[in-house]
Amino acid sequence: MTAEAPVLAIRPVWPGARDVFFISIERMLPRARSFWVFLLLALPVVLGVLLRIYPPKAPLTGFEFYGVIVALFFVRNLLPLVALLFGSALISDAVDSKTLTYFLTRPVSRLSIFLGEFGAYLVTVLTLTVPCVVLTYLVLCVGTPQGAGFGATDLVQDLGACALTLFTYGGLFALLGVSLKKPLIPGLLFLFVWEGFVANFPGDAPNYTITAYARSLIRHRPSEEGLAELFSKFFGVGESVLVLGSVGVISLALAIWIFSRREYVISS
Amino acid sequence: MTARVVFKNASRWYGPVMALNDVSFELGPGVYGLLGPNGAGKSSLLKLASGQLRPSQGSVELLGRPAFGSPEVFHSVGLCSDTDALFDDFTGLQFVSALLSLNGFDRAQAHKLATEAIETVDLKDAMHRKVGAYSKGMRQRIKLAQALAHQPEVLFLDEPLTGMDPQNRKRISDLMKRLGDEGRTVLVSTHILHELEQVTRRVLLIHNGRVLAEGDLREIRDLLDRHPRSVRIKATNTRGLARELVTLPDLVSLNIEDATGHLLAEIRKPEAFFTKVQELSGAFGVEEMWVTDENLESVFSYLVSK
Amino acid sequence: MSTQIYEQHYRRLDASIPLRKQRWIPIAREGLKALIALRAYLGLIAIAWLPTFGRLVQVYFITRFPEARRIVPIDDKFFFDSMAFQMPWMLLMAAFAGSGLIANDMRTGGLLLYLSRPLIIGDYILGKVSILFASLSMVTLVPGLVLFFGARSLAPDILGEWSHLMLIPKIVGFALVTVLPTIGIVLVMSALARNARFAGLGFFFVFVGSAVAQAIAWRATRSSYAGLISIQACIRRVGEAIFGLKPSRMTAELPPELAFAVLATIVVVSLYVLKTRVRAVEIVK
Repeated sequence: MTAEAPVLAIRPVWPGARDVFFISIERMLPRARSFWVFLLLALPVVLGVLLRIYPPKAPLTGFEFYGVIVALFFVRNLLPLVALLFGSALISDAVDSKTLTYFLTRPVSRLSIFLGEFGAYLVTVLTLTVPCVVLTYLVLCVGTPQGAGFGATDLVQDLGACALTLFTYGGLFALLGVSLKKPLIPGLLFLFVWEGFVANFPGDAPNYTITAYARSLIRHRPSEEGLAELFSKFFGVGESVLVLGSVGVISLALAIWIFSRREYVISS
Repeated sequence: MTARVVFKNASRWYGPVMALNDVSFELGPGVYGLLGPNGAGKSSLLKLASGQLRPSQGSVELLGRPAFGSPEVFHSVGLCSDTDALFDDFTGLQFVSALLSLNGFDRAQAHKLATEAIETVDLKDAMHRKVGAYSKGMRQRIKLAQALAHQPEVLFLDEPLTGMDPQNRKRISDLMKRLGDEGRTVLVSTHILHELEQVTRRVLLIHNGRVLAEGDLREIRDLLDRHPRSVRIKATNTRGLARELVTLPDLVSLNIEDATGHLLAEIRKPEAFFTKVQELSGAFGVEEMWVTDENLESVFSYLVSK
Repeated sequence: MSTQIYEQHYRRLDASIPLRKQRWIPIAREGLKALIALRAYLGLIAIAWLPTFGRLVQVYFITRFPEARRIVPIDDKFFFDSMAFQMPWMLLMAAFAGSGLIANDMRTGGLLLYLSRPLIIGDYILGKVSILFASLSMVTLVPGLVLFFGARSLAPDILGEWSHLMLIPKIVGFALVTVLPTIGIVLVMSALARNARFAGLGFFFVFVGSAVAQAIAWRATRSSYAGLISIQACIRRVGEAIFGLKPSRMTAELPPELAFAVLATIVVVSLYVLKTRVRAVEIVK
């Protein structure tokens, strides 16, 4: 069978992105590193099971404890690292593995390639995160005096907060990944120095961090301890969603612009 | 002839390093060999031609459009790069089908075309195995399959025979010839000179980023008048033959090789020499005569040494 | 030349040339040379030393203004805090210098090049461990010792006694307790991930994840034993014991021996994983 001579036109953005997405998700999700990340994200589930079996003396309800986990474990610490792991690798992974050439020599635009890859990233990280958050909630709240129904709305909002956190950090680290050859150390410095310290400074400094807005989305967040108790700043939900969404979109737009113009010298 | 690949005064540098220097040529239908030593600029030329890089100066056109920034041309262009990088977790069939989907083929079409391409490179038995488990030659063939599967008009093949056994080399060489006969443009970069000669006589010789020569190999050779041809003669009466030939005006040198007893001559005008030898063949027992340097290697070595 | 067919009898390998001693040294040497050639590596060391210089300036001011000794005494806690402050730099250095050490070799087939020489896997691992040990010591042990000798020379009236020399084994001990488990974890990540970026991030996941898990567990249980989950908490607890300091609130009741056992287990398990995982040939099914 011979294929008909094709019209030389670039493929539309979304069908191209869809096809790139299917290839990328196949390469991203069923990998060992996704499994290990899932295990780490599932640590609170194990912790929750242990706490149900050996109830502690501290007067924290299951729901309050779930709030500690979502705010502290997921949104503040682990999800940004997950975003750094997968987001910074979006294009640089393909460059390192020298497989980017296969995408660049197909009739799909660079916009399609990037959108497809980012879509695969989002689906991957949400697939790893959502079950862990939901399981943590169920383990800690089902069968407690407050019951599983209590805070179900908060669970949905928390999932939204996790998704937005992953979107924003993912966009930012994707930008880092296309801009820098080695984005790991700058990414870690950003997370631990900028986001880790500056977010707890007094005054307006937290306004320039992502984590301050992300943790503001967890409405049932626990009270802070230590220095954070003194200096933590919280924003309104609407303001937080707007800022996080804008940062994510702007980062993505910049990343796409850089990726569209860059040359990739990939050789053996 | 419609040129499908056009380089016009194209140059490319990486910082202070000039990879390609003012290169101009056009490629139409047929098979072309790209020949040059390591660091000559072959990979850079192929990357420019396949739109992976933009020229620092000049222009590179592929199917009438700028090669860089025109992904639409890849409906009709295939690239088999020299890097040993594949989707190792995919099976061979999945790998080729996935890339065909990027060309816009639906699942059924992609599957059919992928299977045909894989059969062409004789990998049908292994197409359901993961690519990560393939041998080097198999990896090379699956790379070729993905380049061919969408039946492109233009094919860029960077060292396509690497890692292949002799049987598969013959198969792929025949395939390349067939593609050229079908009217496709195939640009093959390779170091395996004698196999390139079996595929095509049209070559592009490149060295230090410059094109030294392009065209038919024989014509290139003929143009090199300044470089004498080397001829080896096996005869029963070598010395007697030498005495007769030494008077020829276009003879540059004449030696009798101790080890073999053969006569080695360097001549400027081969036709006159061959005629003379023919006349003397009966008297001096000429058994064999052949030109030793009318091949790619000697032509290239000569040009590079200049 | 006539054709011959040779009888294939069993031949006993009787190597007469013994393996050289200290086979790991060239691996360590070349690895360190490659790192030192990187500006980022030297930059990281330079930045990691800034707090030490800050502390030396602090000591100098204390010698000029003795009243300040009451606010910032130069005692065991001073040196412990200084070394504890180096931990984030040590983690960054471990990720930078260590994440690709084994991963790159396994990914590119470089391990085969090593093993085609007269050395064994143990030499390879020892060489890599040495590279990391030297790198991490540059941001932990060496600054700690420089701070001690610098402070001793600046303030001999405070640190001039012979008994103060006991700080040296304390500094060395705490540095070893900090560095060795870190080396184990980062090399295991490097061997498992086969990709330097993922190895580095996996390493951070382990450290940060365990610390956060400890914080959560402590919030829930208010038990010091939650510190056993966190590598940083275990290191800190052992360090407090080495320097004879009062333990921090979250690990007040955690026995330092238990924390040390956790760290020792990490080192042993890491060595075991490296021994089994670092192979030149991988079978792909």
